[in-house]
Amino acid sequence: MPRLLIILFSFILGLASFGVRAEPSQLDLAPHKGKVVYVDFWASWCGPCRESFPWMQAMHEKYKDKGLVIITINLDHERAKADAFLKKFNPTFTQMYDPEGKLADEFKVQTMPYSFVVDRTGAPRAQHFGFFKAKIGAYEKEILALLNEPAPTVSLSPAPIFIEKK
Amino acid sequence: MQLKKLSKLSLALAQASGALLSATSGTVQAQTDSFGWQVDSAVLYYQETDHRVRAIEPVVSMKKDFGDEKIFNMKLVLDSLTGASPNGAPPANVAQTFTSPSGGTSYTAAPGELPLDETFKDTRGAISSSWQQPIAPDMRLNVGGNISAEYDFQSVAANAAVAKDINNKNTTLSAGINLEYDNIMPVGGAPVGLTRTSLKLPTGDEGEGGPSKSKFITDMLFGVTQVLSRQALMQVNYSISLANGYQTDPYKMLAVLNGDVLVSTANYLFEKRPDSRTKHSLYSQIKYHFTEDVVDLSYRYTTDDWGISSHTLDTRYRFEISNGLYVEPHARWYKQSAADFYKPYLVQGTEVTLGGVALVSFATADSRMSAFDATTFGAKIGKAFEDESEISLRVEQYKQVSQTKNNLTTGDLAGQKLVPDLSALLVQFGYSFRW
Amino acid sequence: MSKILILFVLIGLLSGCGSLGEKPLGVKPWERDLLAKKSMQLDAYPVDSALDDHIYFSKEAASGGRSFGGGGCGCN
Repeated sequence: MPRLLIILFSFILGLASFGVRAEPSQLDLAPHKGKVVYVDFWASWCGPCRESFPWMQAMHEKYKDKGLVIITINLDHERAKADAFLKKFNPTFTQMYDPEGKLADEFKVQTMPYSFVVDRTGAPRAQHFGFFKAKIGAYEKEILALLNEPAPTVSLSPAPIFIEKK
Repeated sequence: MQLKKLSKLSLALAQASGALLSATSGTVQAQTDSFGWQVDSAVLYYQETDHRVRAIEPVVSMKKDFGDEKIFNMKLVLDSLTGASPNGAPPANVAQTFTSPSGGTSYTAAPGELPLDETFKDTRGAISSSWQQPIAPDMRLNVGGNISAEYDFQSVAANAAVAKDINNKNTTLSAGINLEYDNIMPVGGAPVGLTRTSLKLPTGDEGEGGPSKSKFITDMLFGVTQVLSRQALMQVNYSISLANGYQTDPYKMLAVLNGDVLVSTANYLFEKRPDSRTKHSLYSQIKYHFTEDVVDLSYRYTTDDWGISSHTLDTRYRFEISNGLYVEPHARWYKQSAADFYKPYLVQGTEVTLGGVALVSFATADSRMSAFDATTFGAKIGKAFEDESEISLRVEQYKQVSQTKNNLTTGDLAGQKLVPDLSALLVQFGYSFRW
Repeated sequence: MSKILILFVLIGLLSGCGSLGEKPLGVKPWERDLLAKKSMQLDAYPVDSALDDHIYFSKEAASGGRSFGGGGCGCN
């Protein structure tokens, strides 16, 4: 019997290490059900992040009334650096702080910046490794396509699990 | 009257894009904004003691990030040189009078004085540019070119390098190649090596001597960069250089000693170096970030088929004072062995006949090819501003101490330091800004 | 000679190290804040090093060694 418990316990731990969490994610997307959510991981020292902020602000202003929610998650070790960066761009979308990288670990962030988009049903639909100005058109098309999908009547909310980049 | 270019040419031989793939191309990875230029400018003042070389060198380097990791870089260097440099003959207990190869003028080195060729002035210009962009996921290509010119020396080079990131960009593998072609047109023509200076034969058989000479250099570099931790980074590079063509200094000579007495300067011989040279170099560098300060330590070992091997240990410690103000002391230790064919002078009888025919295939008395230890000590102080501009001042002292022994106890060279020590001061003022 | 051998082994280790075992050598992509700083670039002041390289090239027999690539913020 004790051996079985140990095996079971290890199995659960093993599952946990594969990303199937025993506890709920720190990032709760439930309140945004019915909306398209764009989640972006960034840091003040990341050059492409500087380029992405004005674009994200533009998307926020253009589509917030159509149901786009932008959530940015800052990964700076020092809050002061993040604040200095934000002062320059004055974004009006939601900010979150993850200085210990717990969320970054959870979502297996592989590049800086990293973003993913969740549709109105709460299902993950796209992810972007890095930010490229040349792809702005494509990024916006993607958001628009998801915004044009109808909101669900029944809610499903799996936490986003993605295929590894490589 | 022709202004002499002797030592300027030696300097010029070295000036051609010798720095293989020096990272002027820039590793975009540090924070950069797209649009706008990042301009790094500096003026270097270099002065050797004892009336030797003095140079003033303004540099402007401009980098533009076109976004999406596409970067263009361009650099302009102007080099204004004056002064005199050793002609290869050692200081002696007697005066030595030399005639300039182009004829007409002569100069004398007093007893105990290192013979330096006449003063000269020259300006060299060089322009280099490069383009970098991603060519595959986690892979970058950098291509560049370089042109350098002054009236008796031209150099053109092209280079390409690739870098690939693996292990979540913690490891970077890089490989690069640099091809350089140099054209040298010595004033008065290149002499035939190891012939008497009085003869000044500008032409010879089998490509020796002549109005213009050339050489071709291929450099290849392979490197691994590894992130060790959030605070530490290291790099190891192996490079190989293959040079073919004229590598002799057309104006340097070797004194000839008969017994313990110097022969007439007219019978000194022009130097001669081999046509081919293969160099290997292994370089490693580590950088570590403390709470605010950063330490940089590097070591390089080189060896070549001319018999020269060298060790270089270089370290810097950057003290971050406050608000972007920093002080960075620097120390460098360098040691090299002599080339196989390095001789402070030639011995008549065993190395050159009475009639002036050399019995050795190659010989040079250029101190650059001799055994010596060198040290550099200096510091840089700088201030980085909020708008990402930066000013800096760097002062360094360079000293070369010869390891060439003088075993003569009698005669013209007794008691002389065959290769006097070299001492130079470097002062550099720099200003970087966004434009 | 043994110095060269040690350094080559180091190169081999570095290349292999990156992919050995559960915890490869290195940092997570969001832990590159210090590596992104100018002071942590392998060649932070290319103008300074180019000027130095030029002087050492004209006064010494050895030259070169540096390359480009690696370290930094690792963005995009």
